[in-house]
Amino acid sequence: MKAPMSLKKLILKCKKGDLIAQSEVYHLFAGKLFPICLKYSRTHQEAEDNLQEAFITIFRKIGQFQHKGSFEGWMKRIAINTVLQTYRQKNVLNLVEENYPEEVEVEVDENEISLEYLLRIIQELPERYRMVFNLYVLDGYSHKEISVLLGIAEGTSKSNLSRARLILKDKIELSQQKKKAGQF
Amino acid sequence: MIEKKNIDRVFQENLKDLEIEPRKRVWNGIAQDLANSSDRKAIPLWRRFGVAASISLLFASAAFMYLNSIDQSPVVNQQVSQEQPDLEINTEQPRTPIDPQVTKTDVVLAQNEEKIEELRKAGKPIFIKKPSNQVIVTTNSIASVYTNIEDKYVVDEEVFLEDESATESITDRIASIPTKEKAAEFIDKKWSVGPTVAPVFYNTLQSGSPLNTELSDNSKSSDNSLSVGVRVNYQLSQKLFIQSGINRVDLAYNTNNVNAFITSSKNGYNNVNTSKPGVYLTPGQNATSSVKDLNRPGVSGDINQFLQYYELPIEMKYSLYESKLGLNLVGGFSTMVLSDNSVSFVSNDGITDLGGANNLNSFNFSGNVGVDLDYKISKSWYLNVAPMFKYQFNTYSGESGDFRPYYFGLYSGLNYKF
Repeated sequence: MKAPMSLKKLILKCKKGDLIAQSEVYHLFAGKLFPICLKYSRTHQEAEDNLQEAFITIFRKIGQFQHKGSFEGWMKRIAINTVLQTYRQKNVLNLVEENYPEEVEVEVDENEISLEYLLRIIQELPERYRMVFNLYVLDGYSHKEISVLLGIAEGTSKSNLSRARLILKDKIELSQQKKKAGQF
Repeated sequence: MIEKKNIDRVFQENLKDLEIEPRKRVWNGIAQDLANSSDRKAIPLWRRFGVAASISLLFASAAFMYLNSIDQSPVVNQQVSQEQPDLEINTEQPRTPIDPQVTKTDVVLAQNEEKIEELRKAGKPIFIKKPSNQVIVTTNSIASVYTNIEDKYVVDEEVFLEDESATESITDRIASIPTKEKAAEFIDKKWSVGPTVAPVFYNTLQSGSPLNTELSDNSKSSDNSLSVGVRVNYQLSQKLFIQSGINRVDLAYNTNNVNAFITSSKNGYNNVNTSKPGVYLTPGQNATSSVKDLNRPGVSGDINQFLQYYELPIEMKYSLYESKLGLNLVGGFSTMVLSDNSVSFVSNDGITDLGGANNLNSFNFSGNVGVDLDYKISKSWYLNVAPMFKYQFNTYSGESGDFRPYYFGLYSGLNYKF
């Protein structure tokens, strides 16, 4: 879909380094990019730092945006990449590959589960599990792409994903059990 | 209701299209980084002066109009990026871009600091009133931004508020507000006109005499000279003006220490048409060198040459500093039309009219360069004082004995803008 003129104008002004236009773009999209940073980061603070870094990169590279795809999609990719760069710099230890089931089902009462809780348990995942889970499940990357992005084997990506799913499942079920126990 | 669900779907459904606003500190950090890296250094005055001086000199030496190359305002270079991290991901997640919308009720005119702070906290667009009935429109929340936007989003308050009935979104309207450079194209009072008067000092850059080669080494001094006229000024851009007009210039100088003799020679001096044949002029110090004149000590005095021109200047004015007091550089040229010319001998006994020089061209030109200071009295009136140096070309035909005339004038006037 063709971007509306107003957004195009804003982007053009951003390309010229216009601070007020940059502010407009930030205030339009910060709310959408922040959840991405939140789910890839461990804490709220870290997510804010990542968001800040992401926008700085966005404004530095906005000259390269050619209106070929969606602007929001382009910004999201930069946000994800920013987080991954921080992750790569941390030099996380490789975990041993194991085999886990691909399909994980969980008993869930949708009314009882809050968004904040879901976000929190993602954030509590071990670093690489969190990256793989987010990239694969929430942002649609393939295991092949993830293996390139994180510098791991595809098999590792798959097993990390399965491990992440199991951890999340356990936490959701535990939380639901606690709530149930509280009700009686 | 409890149901079994694929865990991926639980997260996908809940986290889809999620919007969470970060705290203000994030934007503050970004704005600070952008401000630091954008390298918006002010252009040093000497560089601006250099640019302006080059322009003026160019105008002064060229003898043509150059209306097409008028935009000489300095360009601020902007450094874009230093580091460019790799971006290899190509997975596209197409989404409809959001059309920026700010509701009209968010538009508030901020008249004071408290109001501004209140709006900042609420994240609403802020209109800061500026002198000359202008407002800045912004949705920014930090003060540091204001210094940077001040040159950009300037709009007339009344126009903007009247426009509130417009169907466009505020953001669209903000985006369409002209930048300061563009706004300059809409200067409402472009013309100014006023009388100008200047005491003028006329002299030569080299020794020499256009009257008589024998008087080349005599000292020359400026006599009382005056330029009066009318000047018209037209503003081409925020910084550039073109001015013209007409001046009557009375120039006079003295060739000092001259002896006048009566001789049998019909015409004792080369370049003066005279009705008084037989007057012979020599430098005073050589008065006794001519043997045949030893018995005629002559009369000692000065020769005064008077020239009157009508001057038609074409000058460009470049604004270096603009406030209530303005500083401008001026450069250009003038066409001078000779209207009167006389040569007289001035001694203690009186003034004797010798006639007029016969080697003056009817038309000559001058290259002009100077500084113009103006003081704004009101929106429509301003005073100006302009010390100008004008170097003449083509003043004399034939023998002029290396006489290189120039004049320096202190032009002042009261101007009306319309």
